[in-house]
Amino acid sequence: MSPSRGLPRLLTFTNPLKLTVRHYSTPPQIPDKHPLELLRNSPHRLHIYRSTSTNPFFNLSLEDYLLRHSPPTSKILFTYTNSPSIILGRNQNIWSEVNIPLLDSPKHSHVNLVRRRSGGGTVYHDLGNLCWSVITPRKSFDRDFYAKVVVKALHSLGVSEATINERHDIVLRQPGKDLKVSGSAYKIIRERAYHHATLLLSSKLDDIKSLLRSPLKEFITTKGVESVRSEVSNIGVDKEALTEKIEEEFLIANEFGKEGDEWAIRVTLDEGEAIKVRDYIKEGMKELQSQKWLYTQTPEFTLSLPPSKPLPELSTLPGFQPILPQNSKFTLLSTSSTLQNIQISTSKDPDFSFVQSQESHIRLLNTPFSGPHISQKLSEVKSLPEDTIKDLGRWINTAVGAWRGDEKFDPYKTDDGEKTLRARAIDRDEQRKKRGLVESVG
Amino acid sequence: MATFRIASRALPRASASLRASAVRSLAPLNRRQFSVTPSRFEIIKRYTEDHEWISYDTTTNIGTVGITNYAQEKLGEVVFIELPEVDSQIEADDSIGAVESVKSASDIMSPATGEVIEVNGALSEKPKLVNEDPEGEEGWIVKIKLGDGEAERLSEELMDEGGYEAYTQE
Repeated sequence: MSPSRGLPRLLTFTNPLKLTVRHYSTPPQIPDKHPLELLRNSPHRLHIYRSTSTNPFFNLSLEDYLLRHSPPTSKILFTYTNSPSIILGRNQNIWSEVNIPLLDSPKHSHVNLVRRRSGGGTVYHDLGNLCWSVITPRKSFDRDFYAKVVVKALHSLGVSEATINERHDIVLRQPGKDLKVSGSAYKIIRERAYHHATLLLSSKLDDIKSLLRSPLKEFITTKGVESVRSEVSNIGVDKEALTEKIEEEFLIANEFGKEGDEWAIRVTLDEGEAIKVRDYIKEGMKELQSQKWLYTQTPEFTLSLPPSKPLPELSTLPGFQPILPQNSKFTLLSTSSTLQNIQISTSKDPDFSFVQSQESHIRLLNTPFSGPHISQKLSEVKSLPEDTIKDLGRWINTAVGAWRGDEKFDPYKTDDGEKTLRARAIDRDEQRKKRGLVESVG
Repeated sequence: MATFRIASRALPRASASLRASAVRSLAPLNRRQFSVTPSRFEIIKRYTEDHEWISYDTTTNIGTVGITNYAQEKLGEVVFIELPEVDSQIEADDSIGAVESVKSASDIMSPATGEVIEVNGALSEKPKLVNEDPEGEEGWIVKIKLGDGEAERLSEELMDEGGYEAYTQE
């Protein structure tokens, strides 16, 4: 193998991709291993991965794998598309961000509800959306650098109004207003960091608007992170063409081949194969789909419903707008998505109102913040008027909805009863400590 | 030894806002009053490569942990802090929470092995305290009862103020 001097090359394996920018001669010998098995010790500086899966739980877990298992100085571009999903930021409240009744309706039964590991607000993904993610050393973490790279790619495809706003998002600058076409979020760990973002190419904008408008929002006060609403638009360019342009600009921005001979990795990853070779990804997917992650992670919040005012109409209960009696109080304080302080009363009489509050607190304490659970417990409160409770229970049942995801999740045991990677890491630590102890005693 | 224990209680609680230099200047006063071994009273502050600080004194073995001023400047306005549970047992380098700022979630790693004995509850009401007073009385994150031998290990393995300053300027 005698590589021609100074010619930067792209090393492609598994499904070879059409190369638009770089030429290469005979690639170095590739060992008969999956690219993910080679990642940890890869000598290459720049890596480009694409996922063929549209499963958001897989793509986010693969991204987390790349973040935590790539060589500390490498830079990675990873692109993927998710099937329809609502994706919340790590510290957000599902009920103030998402229109649960609409999500639970048959029309949207295919939409996933996902909490990601990075910060920021709620976004909606569908097949008309391209996600890009750049993993870098923590030291070179910069909120705008790769957004600018993507803007350059957009410019080269003729989207000249693309620019970056002060919230580090890519927008189309129109006279008098900006239309958001991309939302960014970041995750920083010990030595590494990523910047990932959406790009609206041909998404269903009506779904974004309706699914991300919660009927409970105005009644919830949360200590968590609230989304900032923006007017959105599609960019309308071809996904394949844009992906290739972003890959090209990623290499240019990192001065690929400037120092002479260089290989970059370019790989297309398949869900089945990736899971087969890496348990970490499989376990990450389980965790993301657990109720523990999806719901218990919710920061403390309070739901307070007002008296003498019709409650908002829910999309699956048309025309049903119960009104809490005058002087009513309805406040639920929830920590880790479990009711911790409950105050429900309807009576004018302060003594009886106190009794109602006490009883509702006792009966609802430690109930999960889930529609069916709350409405069931409400119906058991004897001191509250039956008709009010019935209507309110029905409304809350729909507005809050049932929990999705896997109820039973054990971070230390796999489905086959084996120890998970986390459990094995703890074992190793303990053994190491024991050995250390024996050595020091000896 | 008994005199020494009482003396340590009479001292103000080891607080992060006291810079190492300030503490050193206090020490001779105590020595004069109680004539104890001077080294025992030192409040030591150390820094990790992940931009956490830990300050502890060897008498109580309680370490206070937070993120550094450098880290807070880099992260921008903090909007939420995930705190660990009190009483949880933690290992050095375990993730004990996360700071969210300007759409980024960054892990907080524990510098030491031990038990979480207190978390700064004020941060859930006002996470910005981490920006305003990251290494002081307001913006600390957790207090850890250090495990056996941890104080010595931290003094040896982690960076001191000068070392950390040099590290951030690399």
